[in-house]
Amino acid sequence: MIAVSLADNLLTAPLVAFVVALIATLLRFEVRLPDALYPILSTFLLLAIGIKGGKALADSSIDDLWGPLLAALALGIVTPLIAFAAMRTLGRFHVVDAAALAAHYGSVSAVTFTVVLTTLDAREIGFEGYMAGLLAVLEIIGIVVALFLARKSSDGSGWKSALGEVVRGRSIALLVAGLLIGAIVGAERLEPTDPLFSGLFPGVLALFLIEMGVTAAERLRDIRSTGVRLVLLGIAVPLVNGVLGALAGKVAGLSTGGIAVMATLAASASYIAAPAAVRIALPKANPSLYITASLGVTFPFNLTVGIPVYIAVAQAIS
Amino acid sequence: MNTVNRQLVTVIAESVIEQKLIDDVKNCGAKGYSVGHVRGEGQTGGRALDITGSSIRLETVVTEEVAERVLRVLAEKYFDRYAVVAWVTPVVVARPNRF
Repeated sequence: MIAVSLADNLLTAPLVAFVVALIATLLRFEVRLPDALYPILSTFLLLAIGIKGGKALADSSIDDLWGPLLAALALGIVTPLIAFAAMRTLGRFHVVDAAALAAHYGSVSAVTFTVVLTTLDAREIGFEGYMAGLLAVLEIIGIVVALFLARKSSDGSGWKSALGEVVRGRSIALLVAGLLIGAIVGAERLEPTDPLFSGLFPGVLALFLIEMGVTAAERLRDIRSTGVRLVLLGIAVPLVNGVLGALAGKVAGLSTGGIAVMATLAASASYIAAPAAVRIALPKANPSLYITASLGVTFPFNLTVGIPVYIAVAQAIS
Repeated sequence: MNTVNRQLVTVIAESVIEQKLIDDVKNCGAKGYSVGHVRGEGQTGGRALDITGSSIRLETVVTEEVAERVLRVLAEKYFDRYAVVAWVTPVVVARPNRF
């Protein structure tokens, strides 16, 4: 039974693509996709997630939404604070580095989110479709809270341009564009585009995760210089935040799948929006710390171990 | 051929500050610039910053006075915070009124 559940979680094409690319890169095989493909794949994924979420938003009433939205707002404030406290006390990192790490753990990873959705689909566990809207909300708040923690160390002008970078940056802009397209056009009229945006989705995700596997493997090599504490915290912080996310999802009245998605959102660490924002607002923070933690440790952990755990937690408490 | 001596300022920097650099170079008096993506490695972690986009090379042909101003601004605002290097090369340009 456990073996079957593990196989269901792990033997999806995107995840296997990720692990194969990661191991191949560690063994110095060249599996990297052409550079030009990466922005195309990420554009497709963000638009497709947005459209999917937008369709669900069009079918939901405000009454369904305010509970999960409040839960997401609360998580957006609490998860970076927990990450900051952990990095500062247990990790003994400098305030600026702790805040930079907190921005990554407070924000979310759209790819981790996408993997939990495809895993739930593969296991035929239903979830609230509008969760992509919460993804956009959480992506911004976590970064804002963490930058606030380090406001004394930030450059005066950095603050504003960093926020602009997050809000107008590609990842939020494309996600919101997708949400709008989905919500305005509606599920029925979007049917002609479904073969592209829904049908090709798992395949594109698998391609994208090859690239992510290569990048994660390159980060893993840097772990030697960043230390064991960062690895342990890169696993502990998402687990704690994930459980909190599951509890918040439960309180907000989400379904089992919805709770698992909320837990994954809370647990995931940003590696696109947050690094750009942090680099501008906190130039003194060490990029190899936060990028290695988020991309080298937490991202592979969440994909392989975290997501099955969050689904199990969701099943246990719902 | 009517030519004139000018300075070519080349700046290699991480891409997150591209817009800020362009604004500063223009404010210093540059009338134009070119930017492209480049790959490479340097002392400030090189690879670690790739995730926010590869490095950029910004080039602008300016008078000696403007070149000095650009280097001063770069030193004040960026050198201790970001991965930035810059150098100046004397060049002979055609169409002098453009620079």
